[in-house]
Amino acid sequence: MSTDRFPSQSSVLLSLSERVYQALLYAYPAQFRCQFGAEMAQVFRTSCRATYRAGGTGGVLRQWLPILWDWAWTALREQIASVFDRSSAMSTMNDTTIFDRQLGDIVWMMTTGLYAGYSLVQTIEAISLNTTEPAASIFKRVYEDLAAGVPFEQALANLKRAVPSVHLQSVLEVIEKQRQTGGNLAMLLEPLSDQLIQQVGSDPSLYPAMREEASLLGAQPPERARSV
Amino acid sequence: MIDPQTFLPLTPAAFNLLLALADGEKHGYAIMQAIAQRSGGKMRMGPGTLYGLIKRMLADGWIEELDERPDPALDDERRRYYRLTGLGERVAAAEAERMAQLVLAARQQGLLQNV
Repeated sequence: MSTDRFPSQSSVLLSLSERVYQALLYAYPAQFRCQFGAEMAQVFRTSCRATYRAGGTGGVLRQWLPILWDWAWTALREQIASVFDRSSAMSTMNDTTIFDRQLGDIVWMMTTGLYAGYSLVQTIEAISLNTTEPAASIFKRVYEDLAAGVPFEQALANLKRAVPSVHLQSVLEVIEKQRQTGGNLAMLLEPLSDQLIQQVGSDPSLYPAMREEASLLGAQPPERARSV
Repeated sequence: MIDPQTFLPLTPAAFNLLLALADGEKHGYAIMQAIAQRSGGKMRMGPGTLYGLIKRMLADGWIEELDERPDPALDDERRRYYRLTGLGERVAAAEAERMAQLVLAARQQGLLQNV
């Protein structure tokens, strides 16, 4: 935090202002602060220095009034939003447990579709149409995001935020890594599917519709498709 | 494809943010400056309002973060740049059209004789 281009008295004022604003950032929810806190502090710092150059000490002091209003209003709004996000996440805790048991088979379905030449988006649509809840709704939302023009990375980020599952995160990390570095996604996902089924188990209610869909996607029986 | 009309009307702050990004990618402070300049200093957005909007627009797919900074050699590496997505452009255009119709109506009512 360098303030050596300013006279010492103003350095103290700017430095103090920056520290106070950094402390005020703790009023925002942790997730918001992690995502944007550093940038907000930097924007405040740049703004403070520009104000000092234009209006001196008085300008910086006058800037604090709208900043405090902005801070109080937006911190409250983000806290309320995070409470709603949390309660929504908590209501899905049971769903998350069920979803985790579906995930290994879903990844297998994805793998089969990709091996058969379908795009990842097509396999996501197929999953949304042919699995039971909660997976069906979760993947339907992803497909709707993509169909609406939401960038793929953002759709995955929305999915990650909506489903607090460490197993899903590991699947999404593989997909994100493959999109950055390339490689055969089906081959990368295939061992993950087996690993998930062994670790978390699977959901038998998912099988009838999914096996039928997977065999259609792969144009061959599921057992055969799985061994490709 | 989502109809951008479903998001209208936008708040003045949201529309100004989309307008600020209409001519290319910007980082947070540049967005704030563009908004202040366009409004002749009447609208000054604080960091909380700015990043609250950025958070929601990222989630809705109206804007996206750039993977790389436009000119890394001349810039602070902590800065993140944002740009409009196709959906964001359609939403901004739909809001501009809605406002143009309002202005037309005001003119027809004789409220904008000197403009």
